Amino acid sequence: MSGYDDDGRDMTRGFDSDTIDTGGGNSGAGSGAAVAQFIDELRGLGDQEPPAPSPELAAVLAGTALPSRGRRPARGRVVAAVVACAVLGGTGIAAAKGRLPQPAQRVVSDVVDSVTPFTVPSRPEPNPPERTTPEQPVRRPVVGPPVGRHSDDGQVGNGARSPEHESPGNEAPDPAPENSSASGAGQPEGNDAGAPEGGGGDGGSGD
Amino acid sequence: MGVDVVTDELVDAARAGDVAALNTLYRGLAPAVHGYLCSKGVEDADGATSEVFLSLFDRLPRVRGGATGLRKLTFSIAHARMVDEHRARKRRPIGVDWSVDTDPRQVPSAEHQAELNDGTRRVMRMLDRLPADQREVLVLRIVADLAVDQIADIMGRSSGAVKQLQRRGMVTLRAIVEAQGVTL
Repeated sequence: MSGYDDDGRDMTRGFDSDTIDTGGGNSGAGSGAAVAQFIDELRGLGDQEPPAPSPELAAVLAGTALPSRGRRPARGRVVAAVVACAVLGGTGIAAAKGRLPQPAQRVVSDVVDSVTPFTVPSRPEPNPPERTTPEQPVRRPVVGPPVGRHSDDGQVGNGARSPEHESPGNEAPDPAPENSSASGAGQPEGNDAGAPEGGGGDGGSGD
Repeated sequence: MGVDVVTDELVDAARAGDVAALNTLYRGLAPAVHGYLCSKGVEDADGATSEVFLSLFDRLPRVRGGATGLRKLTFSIAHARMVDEHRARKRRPIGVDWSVDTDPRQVPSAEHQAELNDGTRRVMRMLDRLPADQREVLVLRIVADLAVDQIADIMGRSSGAVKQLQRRGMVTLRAIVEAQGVTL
């Protein structure tokens, strides 16, 4: 910056009568004088009596207190500190469990090993073996009366299914009770027709 | 006593913890700071002025540039204080009972903030008719006696923009004066 404006005036200089003329044009001398009076009065704002200082400032001006406003940490600093602690804590816990990606795990491990007495594995732990087969519900054997033996109410084998219902492709037993309301065809555990729940095969009405 | 009392030697003494220098700084700069805050409509201009100087004195050890640097820092703090108050006022609108005596459309708001003499009241009335940016440039230029580039730093504008605002402010002032029949 050259310090001079387009009109060749020194921009680092105070506001003076030259500047007043910039508002000019062909205005009369009367308005120029009025503007100059306004500027003088405006400048006079800086020459008035200072306002009474607050008690805190008065103590500083009296020399009985040091000017220190660093007592209260800025709210932004507090928030930043909390966030930093949370991130560092979370990273440390994840690293201790070996859950970080390999590069991050290595970096955190190096830092923790060199700075703290703790040890963090440098390689992520292998994933725990996944269950390849879901837990199979205990399939209770279909209990029914012996072939040819009738129950008291005359039904044949409460819950027993006829051989044609035991389709060979029905290998996935579904213990979910809501499926019992679906078509009963192919269900591993039959129940009485229309029964809302497909419980154990022996819990029929024949008991 | 005005902003001219602030010299490099005075700033050095204040930085060294000289209480008399702190008092001289306050007496020399506080009226201008107070006038600036009043002209910008700060409600508690007295309290805000004290806050500005508490902040200024806290930063004195880091002041660079002698008297010029200190004047710029002082009004930078005052500008930030004014912006903070306007933002806070927007977030927490103050509900007041309306009366014709307090309606800012009837009476300039800055006029109520301090006991003002006739000359000051006239000045405030004129300033209230200027757009905010033009008013700020003129006050910082005339009351604070800051240079264009210093005002540009404080307002976050380019020097050219500040110069343009100053020029427009003077044109607006002259138009107001002529519309009033040359009397202030």
